[in-house]
Amino acid sequence: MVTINTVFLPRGVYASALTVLGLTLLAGVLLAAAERKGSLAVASLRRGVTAAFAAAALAYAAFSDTVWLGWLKADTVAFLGLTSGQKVERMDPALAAFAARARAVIPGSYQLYPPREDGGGSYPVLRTEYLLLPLRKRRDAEHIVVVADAKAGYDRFRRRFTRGPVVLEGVDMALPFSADLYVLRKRP
Amino acid sequence: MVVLALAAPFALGWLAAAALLRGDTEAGLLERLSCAFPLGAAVLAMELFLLGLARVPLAPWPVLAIVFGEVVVAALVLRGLGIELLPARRSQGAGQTARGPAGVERLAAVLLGLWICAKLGSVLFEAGLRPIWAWDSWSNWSASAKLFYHSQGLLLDEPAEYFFGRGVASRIPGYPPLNPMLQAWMCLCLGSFDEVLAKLWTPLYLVSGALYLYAASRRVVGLLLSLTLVVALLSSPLLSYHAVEAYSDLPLSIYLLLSLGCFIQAVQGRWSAWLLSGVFCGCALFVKDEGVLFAPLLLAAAAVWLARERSLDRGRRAAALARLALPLLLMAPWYLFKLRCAPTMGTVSDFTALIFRPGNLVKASALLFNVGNFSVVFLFLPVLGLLHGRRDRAAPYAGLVLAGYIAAFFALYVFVPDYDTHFNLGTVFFRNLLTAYPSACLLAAVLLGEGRGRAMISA
Repeated sequence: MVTINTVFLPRGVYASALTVLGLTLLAGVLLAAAERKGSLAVASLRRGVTAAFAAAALAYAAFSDTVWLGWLKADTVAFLGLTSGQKVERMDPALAAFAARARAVIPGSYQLYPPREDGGGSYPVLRTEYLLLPLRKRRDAEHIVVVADAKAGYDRFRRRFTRGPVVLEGVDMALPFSADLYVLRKRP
Repeated sequence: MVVLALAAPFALGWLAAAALLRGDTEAGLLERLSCAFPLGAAVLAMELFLLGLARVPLAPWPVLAIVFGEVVVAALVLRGLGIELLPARRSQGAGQTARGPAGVERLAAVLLGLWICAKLGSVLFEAGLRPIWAWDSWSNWSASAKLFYHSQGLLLDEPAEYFFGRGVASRIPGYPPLNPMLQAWMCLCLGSFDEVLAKLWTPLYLVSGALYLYAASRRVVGLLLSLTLVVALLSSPLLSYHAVEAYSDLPLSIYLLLSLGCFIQAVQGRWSAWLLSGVFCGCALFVKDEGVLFAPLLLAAAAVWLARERSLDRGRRAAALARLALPLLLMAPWYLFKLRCAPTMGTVSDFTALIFRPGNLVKASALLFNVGNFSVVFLFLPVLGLLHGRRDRAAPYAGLVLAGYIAAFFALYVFVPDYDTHFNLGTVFFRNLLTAYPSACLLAAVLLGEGRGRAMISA
């Protein structure tokens, strides 16, 4: 679904730009020198470089904007007519759907696993945090959101949440979204 | 509401520009148009930040009433003071004719103009199409905006662990807040946090930058070359991408362009440009920390030029430097806040254990002259500098500011361990270069102008 995340141009454009640049520079210098009927003076070089710069910039722009047009077409097909919420879902369907359902279950704040210092800086965790806003992450909260945490485990029969040395008894499943994404609620 | 949300900063900036440029008969319509939105956006963002600090709820009605009321009051006050809100029409000077381009040149100019309009239009369209998606956009800037918008404040009354939103969501709270404040402003006007429309102000920075580059270079290098420079500026895929996302690098790049452009005009003899250059430099300090690298270089270049300039007396030189330096203090509230809350504002790179990594010097140089992201501008700039650099009085100083700014990034990646390990010498470095790219286009215009820089002041 990502269309313009990568902006690097292919190597072909380097070769094209440099070729146009070199040829225009040469032609520009020769023309300017011929006009002056003198040797390759600095003034001729200046005019040649100016011509080369303008030509190379325009050649580059023609290529670059053609690529841009491709991105624009792809995004128009992908997004036109969708609401902002649908567009977010289209970009990241699983996490957006999970966050939407979790926001309906969690009243105000939540505790997140994995914690920041233990692998919580990964994309799914940060993205879930973002999508859960305005819910606030807290160190200790009634609800626990678990996002792709390999160290976490929930035993639904014993209602027990474990993660390393952390063992929480009497924890209910509040939102069983998938094996990797779920919300638990501690009993008051 | 989107139009109103974007019109308010434009109106604020237009009025601020009218006040700053009062008595300046050389300030043209295009220049005012290009300065208005960036100036107003910074004023608005700082205002929201101050309202937040004062615990005024960042809710729609108080904020909208304050901002729109302020626009009306400011317009009335300026009119009352006799300050013209619209620039006076200039008559043709002696020896100047109104003759425009003819024949092939006119056709080429029309085609280039259409190309520019189509590109800018497509960027605006794309910005209205895509949701916030780039990692750093949502994880830092939009997360902050969402927090401030939904909590209707800056979360200053939270316990230390959650003060200013720290710990509530993973983000870097020490980043300057212009971007989150503008997103919050959009959402205050819209009535909800809209993942598409919250960032619709970013392409306006691109439009402002393109307009300024055209206005500044039009009389220096002529119609065709100035349009070509704008086409070159807009052809950067990275710049276009940033103009549809909620990054802060594009706004910073435009503030640096405006600040450097005004500095060049000031050196060419336009008195009001000293103040404008300082104001835009101050705005840059409120966008990203990288602005801190630019400000001392600009001040140093101005100090050296003023010290060597014999046509101004000592008082006038001191006044010029003060007009450049004092506007930086407008951003003091943010830096005082940051200084006071330093222990809770995120990590800071360790500058005490520097390690020299020559490999990064080579790699960074290759990236600088890589034409993948920045057209051929950086590639040509050294050649243009060598061939034309001595023919314009401002070019060497502006060139040194820009070279010093880029060199500062080189130094960070070559010497500071954090920058080598935590930041990617690729994506992040390209973003750093992006902030210098519009200024590089302007410098190219000044160099190609071959000493006609004085003409840059009115467009």
